[in-house]
Amino acid sequence: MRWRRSLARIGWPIVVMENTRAIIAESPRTLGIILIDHAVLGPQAGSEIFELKRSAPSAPLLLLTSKSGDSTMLAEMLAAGIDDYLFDAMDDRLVQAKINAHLRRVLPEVAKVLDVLMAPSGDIRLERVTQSVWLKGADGKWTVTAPLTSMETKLLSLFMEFPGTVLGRKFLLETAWIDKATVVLPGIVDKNISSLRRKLGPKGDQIRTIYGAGYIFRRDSK
Amino acid sequence: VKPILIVDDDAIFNDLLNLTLSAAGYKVFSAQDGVEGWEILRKEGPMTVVLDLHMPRMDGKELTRRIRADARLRQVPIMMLSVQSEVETQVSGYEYGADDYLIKPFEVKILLARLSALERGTPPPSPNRPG
Repeated sequence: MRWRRSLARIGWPIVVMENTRAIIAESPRTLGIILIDHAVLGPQAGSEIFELKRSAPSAPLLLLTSKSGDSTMLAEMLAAGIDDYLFDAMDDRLVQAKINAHLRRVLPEVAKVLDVLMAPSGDIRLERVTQSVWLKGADGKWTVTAPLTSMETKLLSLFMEFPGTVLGRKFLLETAWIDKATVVLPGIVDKNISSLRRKLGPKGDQIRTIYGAGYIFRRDSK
Repeated sequence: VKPILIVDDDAIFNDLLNLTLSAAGYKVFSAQDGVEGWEILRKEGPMTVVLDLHMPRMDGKELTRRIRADARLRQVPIMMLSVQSEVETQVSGYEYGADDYLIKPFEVKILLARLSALERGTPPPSPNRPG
């Protein structure tokens, strides 16, 4: 369930299968990425992985495992054909970053699409790689805003990924403040959101302050 | 023999890694920082890159960004190595364009297995790919 929740958040349609035989039988070449739970592998786990990789050589194959300390097993599974491994206790943000990295290598066009977010209102478009935001005018034409800073990009990404959800200042700070080497100034989140709102112009109103709780990104632009 | 570039300002670690990867059959190029690493890549062409995150003059993130922006080099496998294990640091490494992030210290068998997996999954270079 944990993995389903993490992957659904990234936006992928998920197909659940019971074992490697079922995956091989269901034309795995159509799958974008394969995540296999260590628990469904039998005693010949290496052979199963080898066969699975052979049946879908271009799809990144990731092992989900709780055995983070078993380096011999992990090295053997990498040699058998997995491209990476994810641990049960791994943070969702790291899971997402790792999956995106694999997709960027094998499916650069898909990865490019993942780097573009659209607001539910359909009038704000964020291109994360270039840190640029496009706003749709009443005439249907798109115009680009002033470039965002890295933190503004992170904050807007979070709002657009979780529209209609109250996001607390602590969560926003911990998630968006990448550069831990610099000192966190008091009110840094509020200051950046204020600057982000300014750059979004009237559409900045979609970011609403919830006093005592944090911020919410509205699902509509009204 | 597969070429590989090590970029790390820790001379002792750089030498140890050089010995380890040479013994594993790689042709190893070594650089002390991102500036040297970038010069080697420009001169020698695409190869797997193993780089440290924090270095003087040009750090690992900037070198990664430059590689990903270069039409000839953008497909090279990049593995970041760092003592920093915080989630945010790892995530930002991937966001800059690293394919893998390994926390120091690590076991040699894991390093070699992950390098092999990275190189196996890298699409062949396409000289006609538009920049």
